[in-house]
Amino acid sequence: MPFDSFSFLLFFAVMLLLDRIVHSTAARKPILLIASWIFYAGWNPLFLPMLIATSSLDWWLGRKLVAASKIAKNRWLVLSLLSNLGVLAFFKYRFFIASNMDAVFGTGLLSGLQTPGAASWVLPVGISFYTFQSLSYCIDAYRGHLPEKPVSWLDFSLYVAFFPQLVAGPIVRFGDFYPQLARNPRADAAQIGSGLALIIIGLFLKVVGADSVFAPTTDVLFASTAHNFASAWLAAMAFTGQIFCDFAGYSLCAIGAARAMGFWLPENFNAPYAAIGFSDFWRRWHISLSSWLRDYLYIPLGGNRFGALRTYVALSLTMLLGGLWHGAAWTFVAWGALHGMYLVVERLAGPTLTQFHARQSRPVATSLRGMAWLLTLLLVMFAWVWFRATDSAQALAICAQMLAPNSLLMGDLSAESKLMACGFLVLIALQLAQRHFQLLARLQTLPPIILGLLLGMLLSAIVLSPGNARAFIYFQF
Amino acid sequence: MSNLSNLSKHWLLTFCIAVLSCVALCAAVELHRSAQGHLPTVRDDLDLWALERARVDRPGQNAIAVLGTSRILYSLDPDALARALPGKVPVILAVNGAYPLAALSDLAHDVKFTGTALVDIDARGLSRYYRDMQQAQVRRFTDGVGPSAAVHRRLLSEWQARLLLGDADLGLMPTLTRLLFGAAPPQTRHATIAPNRAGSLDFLHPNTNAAAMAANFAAGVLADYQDHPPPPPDQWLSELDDLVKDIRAIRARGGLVLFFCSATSGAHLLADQQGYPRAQYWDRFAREIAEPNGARAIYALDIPAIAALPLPDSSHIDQRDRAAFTQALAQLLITGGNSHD
Repeated sequence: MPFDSFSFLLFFAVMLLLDRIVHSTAARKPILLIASWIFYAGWNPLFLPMLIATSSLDWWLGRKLVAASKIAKNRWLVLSLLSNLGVLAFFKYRFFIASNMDAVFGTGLLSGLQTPGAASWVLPVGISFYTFQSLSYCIDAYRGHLPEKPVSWLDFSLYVAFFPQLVAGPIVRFGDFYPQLARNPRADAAQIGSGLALIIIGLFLKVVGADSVFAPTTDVLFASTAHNFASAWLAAMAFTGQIFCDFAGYSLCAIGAARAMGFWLPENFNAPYAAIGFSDFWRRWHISLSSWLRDYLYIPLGGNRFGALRTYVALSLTMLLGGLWHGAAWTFVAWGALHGMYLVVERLAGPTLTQFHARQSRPVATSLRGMAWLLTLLLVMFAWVWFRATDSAQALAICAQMLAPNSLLMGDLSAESKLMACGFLVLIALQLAQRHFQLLARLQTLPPIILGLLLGMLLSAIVLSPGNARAFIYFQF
Repeated sequence: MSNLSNLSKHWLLTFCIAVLSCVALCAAVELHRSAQGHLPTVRDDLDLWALERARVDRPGQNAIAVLGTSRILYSLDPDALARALPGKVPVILAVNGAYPLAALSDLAHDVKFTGTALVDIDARGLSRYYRDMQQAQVRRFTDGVGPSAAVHRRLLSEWQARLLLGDADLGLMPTLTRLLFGAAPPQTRHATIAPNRAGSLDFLHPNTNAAAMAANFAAGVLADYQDHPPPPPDQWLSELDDLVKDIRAIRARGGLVLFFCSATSGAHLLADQQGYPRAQYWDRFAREIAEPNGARAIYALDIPAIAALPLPDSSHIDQRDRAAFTQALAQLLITGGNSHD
């Protein structure tokens, strides 16, 4: 059930109450697991057996991996990779693979997949997230990073299914979650309070920011076929705001819900649009995924250990696959490729730029940093067009206009677009401020009357922004 | 311990202030909107339609599926109909601005449906151009509404039916765009929808210009003939093969299909007759398609009790006439469409 629904409101109220009543570890874990399953079945009860089956299989594979000899470990790891990636390939990529096979080899696979029986297998919500989480457990088991003591099925199932992070992350490592389970953490007043505050801020970002301020303009401009320089950039601006508010809002709700029950989840966003450079951007955007890709893909591909060329190849491959993880379409691959290219160019030019920067006077150096920030933001926005576009033709058309400053005139800009542009400026200003101090941490130190009024205003804005509900963008991944 | 207690007080005070300030602000906004003459209404959507559609299939249900467009959506009182027809459960599946043949076909293919399909449609709506207008609703029903979405939608309906805070058109962003950029203020609406999707129109509501609406309807019909020219009567009839199959499927299971051509008046009626003259289209449909296949086709203007009801905008009745309309329709349903003479 989505966080921005009445269903979740009811569910979470019951969960908080139960969590205060039930104290014993023996009772609390099964309750949390069953609640998490109910949360997941809220979308479609048919998804639940799939979640239980795949997590049970990975739990079993993890035990085998821990106990196996070095050679046997390889076999078990291959089995784990095949099962996890096979499930993803079937549910998420089968049409993409078939259509590309058709295009290249004329196999006719796609028509076979489009028969009513085969086509009715819909994509289970959150499958990419929980598959990656399970997969990291098996890889950690292979690497010997898991505890010697056998992990119980209950603990592992709860690690995968824990409802705040189940559907769209943050992607949690077993090594971070398991010790918390063992400790059976109880939330104190500060955790409950700050957790609820985070949920309110997250809902504000989603309901007001993403759905009310940015999404209407995004929808209109991406539905349009006639763009000029200004409207193309405006479209990119709208989606840049929407995707951040949507996903960061979800992540804050997840972190807040977990915190209100005594659990810690990793930070997922840290002012990404204030990034200076692309390495910096990926340390701030979807942090749990980018660190997952670093640890389980980039480093195994060689990382930076085998010279510059191999590093560039590893970076590009990681970003390409990272793009493909988001969706089964060439537009996502192109988005990943663009970011891969940005990172490679940054690595190539980095030492020269750093030396040049160091030689400048302070005002010039500050201006250069400002220009680097602006360039980063504009290139990130440029890439988002590929992420949002319905197909490559649309992305190409919009990007072509973004590169051709033919007209700065938008004609009659709608009131919604003007409001969106104002919202975008506020969002960027807040993120730039966040480079220097942690806004969320500061909030918690405010006097109750100020913090209460602030949260009251955010709550009011949420209540006063009905009717534009859209599914969280990352649910489709 | 005292530190913990201080923390508890800190957060308790914070959330008390947050909730109180939110309640105070929202209450003020609600009262202000209410004073402006706005009425709370449910916002219809695909989920709500799909949930109502699912009610038709409940075991032991003797359902009357009310299909059609705005005319029946805003005219029929399902609670009054249920009282007039004990044991029957009216379910409103009519959709504002969308002809219902896709929904009828969905019912025909649903082996669990053995009730009555009351289909509000005119000759124009039977033509091939408009067959898929409710396909999105049908698709949402067949895809299924998950348990969480169902609970959310039901609670949302209750929220929207009671509070103007649930009205998106009056929300924060429309208000801000108005205040900051001079966008037009929202008009108070004369149409409302209840959580069971039953609608009503209040033509006495301020800002309701029935004459302008009537002119728009007539002009809209004439303009539509340019985009969708009426097919010749024989061709029009010959293109109803799928509909015949649907009628037969429902009849074969013991169900009833009652086509009902709602009344129009004035220039709107003239425009209707210009494109689809009754004798060449509707009457032939009744004679050659409906009756031979066990359905009935009723022309509303033939029923004195309905023909007597005023149509302020030339197409819809006022909410004060819903009871009379529903009573007349209940009589038709009791007799299977045979008593209108």
